[in-house]
Amino acid sequence: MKDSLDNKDMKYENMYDFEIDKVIEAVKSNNAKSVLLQFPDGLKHRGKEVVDAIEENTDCECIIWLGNCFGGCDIPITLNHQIDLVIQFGHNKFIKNPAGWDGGK
Amino acid sequence: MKLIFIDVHYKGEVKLTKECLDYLKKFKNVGLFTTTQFNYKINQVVEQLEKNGNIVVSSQPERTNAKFQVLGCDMYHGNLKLPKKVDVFLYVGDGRFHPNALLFHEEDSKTFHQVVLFNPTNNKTDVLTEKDVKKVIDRRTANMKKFLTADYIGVVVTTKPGQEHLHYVEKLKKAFPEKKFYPFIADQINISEFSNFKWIQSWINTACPRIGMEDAAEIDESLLNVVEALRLAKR
Repeated sequence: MKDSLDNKDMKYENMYDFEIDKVIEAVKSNNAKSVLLQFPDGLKHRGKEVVDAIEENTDCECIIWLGNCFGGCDIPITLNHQIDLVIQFGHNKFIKNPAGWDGGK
Repeated sequence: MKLIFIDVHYKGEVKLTKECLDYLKKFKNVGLFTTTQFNYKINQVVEQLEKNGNIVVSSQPERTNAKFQVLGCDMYHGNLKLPKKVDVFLYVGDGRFHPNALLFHEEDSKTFHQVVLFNPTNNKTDVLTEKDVKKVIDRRTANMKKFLTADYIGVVVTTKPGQEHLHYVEKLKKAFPEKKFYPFIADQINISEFSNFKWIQSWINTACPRIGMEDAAEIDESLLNVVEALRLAKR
């Protein structure tokens, strides 16, 4: 499995670690068929690389959140029954996540 | 639906420059904060500061998952839960959203401390002071006055996790029995919607507190965070 995002030159564009191996493993271990990817504005331009890397290595379908994603509080709960896995980049667990969410454990 | 977070760590060096360290020499206690991109390398910065003669003060703020991490919503006194007083803040990261939270937090202090910015992506040092957020704070003071004289108040609630604050409507009704409160709910607050409800004289925000700060300074309508509104009742 090749982490195309992490093996490029260390220029500014590639200075951030998207942990693609970990992402792919999470998709597989959760047996996720539908995955929603959320990026803060500053990382949205990297979306294509992330989607392509996931879809090349799994049989899931990725959907990209078209909207703001200001932090760990910004989760699309209205999609609760339509998406198997949400992967939010650039943020960390938000402590006030409601009960029942696994909050990135 | 399961949820995972990817920190997106910054892969470059996180090391204070001589310029930054020299500036910090005149302060003793340095309140150190960063974001999740840089936090895993913050120990190097701690070592540098200690060698520089500074005492590093930090905490795990209320809603965060790690020590040294600050969120944009950690803007009220008490959110940071600092173990001791600081003489200056040092924010390691890029952008202004998080360091502005530290500045707003300082508004409750008797002395307004500077926030030194160190950006590891370009190794630049900058200094923020009270004047960098004066426009926002002045506008908020004006919005407080408008709220106090308004009769019809719109209360904005969002459905985002951690922001489902419909209960504030009852608190506001109790605190200001002479006013009429109208709850509004949305997945995401679109402040341009306010102009459709001209009969609302003043708006209260119960969602992310930064909406009642920088966003409120950019619109014609009066918009105030619920925390500030309830503080007015206690005066």
